[in-house]
Amino acid sequence: MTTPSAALRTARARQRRGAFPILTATLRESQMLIAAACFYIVAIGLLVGLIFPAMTTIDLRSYIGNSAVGSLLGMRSLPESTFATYLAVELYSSFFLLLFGGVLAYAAGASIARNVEDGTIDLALARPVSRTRLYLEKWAALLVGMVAILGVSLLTGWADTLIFSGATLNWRWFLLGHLELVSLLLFVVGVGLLISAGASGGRTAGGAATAVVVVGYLAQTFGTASDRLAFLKYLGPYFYAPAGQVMVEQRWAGTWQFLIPVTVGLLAGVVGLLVFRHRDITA
Amino acid sequence: MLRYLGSMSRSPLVIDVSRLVKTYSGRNPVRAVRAVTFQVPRGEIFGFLGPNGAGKTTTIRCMLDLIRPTAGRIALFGLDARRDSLVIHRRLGYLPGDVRLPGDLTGKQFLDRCSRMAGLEPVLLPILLERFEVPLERKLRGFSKGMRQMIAIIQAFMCNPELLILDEPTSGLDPLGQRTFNEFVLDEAQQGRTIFMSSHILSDVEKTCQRVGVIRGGELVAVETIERLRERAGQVVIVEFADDVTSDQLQSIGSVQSVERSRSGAYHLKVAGSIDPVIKALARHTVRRLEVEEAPLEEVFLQFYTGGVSGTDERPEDAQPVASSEAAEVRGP
Repeated sequence: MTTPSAALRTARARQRRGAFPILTATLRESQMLIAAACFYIVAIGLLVGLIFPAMTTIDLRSYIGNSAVGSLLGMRSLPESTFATYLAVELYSSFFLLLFGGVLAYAAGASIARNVEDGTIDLALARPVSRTRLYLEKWAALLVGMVAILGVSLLTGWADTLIFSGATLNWRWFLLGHLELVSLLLFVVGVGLLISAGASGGRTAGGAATAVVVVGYLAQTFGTASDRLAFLKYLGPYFYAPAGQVMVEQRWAGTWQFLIPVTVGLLAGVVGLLVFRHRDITA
Repeated sequence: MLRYLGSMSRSPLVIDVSRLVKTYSGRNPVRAVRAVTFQVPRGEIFGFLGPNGAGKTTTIRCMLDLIRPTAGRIALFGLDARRDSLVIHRRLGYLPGDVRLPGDLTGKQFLDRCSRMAGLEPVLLPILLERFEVPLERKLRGFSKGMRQMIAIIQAFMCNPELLILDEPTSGLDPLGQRTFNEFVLDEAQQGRTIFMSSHILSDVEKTCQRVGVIRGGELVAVETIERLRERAGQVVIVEFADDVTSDQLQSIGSVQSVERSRSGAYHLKVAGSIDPVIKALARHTVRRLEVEEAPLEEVFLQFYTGGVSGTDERPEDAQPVASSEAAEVRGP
């Protein structure tokens, strides 16, 4: 007679359909960073709505008109002083890329390298999980993080218009501004993954990816502040996708310009995949 | 798929490693594994022994396609370890040497994640939880080293794999845990499971393995059965005489390797090979006490480790260092 234990031993394990275990694990690992980014977007967005009546008394045009300040914010001009303008200056200037792009860059940079460093990637790759699938699930998780950040940003703008009097948005340009942010964040995620694909230390890779964003910001700032260093501005991704400027000027920056960070991000991601497929996994 | 099924059914060998070489490139290239060749048939428990940094983990990582070999061929279930890795990994369980677990998960969540990654139901989980008691509702960061090791053992076995690759499986387990593990491994081998376990703890492999491979400095220096190793280790004869017998007289007996005399006056004779001439020689004297013990295997392994002995079976012939400076260093980068 077969005992229950013996029956279990001889039973073949049935197939199990799981929904993207690497993706959910990566989201879990990055949730604090993404949540912090979302929190600060909500805080800044609501704060702008709260102080909007007081801000209308400030001459923001002359403030931005100063080339140094304009360079720091990545804004060229302010046609009119509306709630959308203040929100664009405070939240969607080049600081958005620096702060929230930096957070996403860190998450992307650490995503694979941290698992290599702590050895947990071994448990995944010793299962029937290909390197390509692991990489693509990581990429997808970071894109989910990106969507969360942008979704919270859109909801914050909507909440502002509901809560605060005089806070109105031109939704067409607000959405197109967010499309520019998509371009920037796709760049950030792709570059972060490329760094992570070849690295074996989570903090180092995350720091390096963040450094790319910081260097991009500085290049654009110095490039626009000084004519002698004008060539530098082409190195900053915000130059190609000036989300805040699109919102205030209500003018599309150009499809080719929009596509440059997207293409660079996708190429970096694909190169990262090739690197990851061929590397040795050694902690 | 037909190709897979055909090659799987034909191959009696579950593991077939042939002339495996792994060189870590860099400013100072390191050849961590040199022309390693061995085979493991279905249902065998094979021990892979060697001192720290000998190349055990590098070999295992090559078998799992975590590291890409510089040269040589690895086949598991008759399939190429790299090209067919997904098919192979569906049929194996792996226990890493240095168990690191995601601390923010509970034991239950961790096992569920492992099962989802495997794409298989954890059919053996009830049996494993009977043997290895781990608090599944607790976060893994609160687990002791022994508990981490036990939950890692559980994840390796739970989807009923045909092949287990275990890197130092008893590391961190207390003596009770080690005994439970050894009993479990023996039970599982009786079910036809093939188990490949690396260790530098001899007693582990001595209790469970049928054959062992010994790796030193990246080279496989021996692949032998435990029985053959015991023969090689020889026996120790402890004898006390009522009459006067000198050490030189005992040393002159054929097959006596060494003679030591204890404070009590008893002689300890290390015997290699047949014990028959020793017994016949001792019978010429008046013997007060006689004991025969198996010599500890540790000595044989120490000889392997330090280069005093080389194996007889499956010795690679062409293992050459990359450069003389590499000879001492065989660890990964």
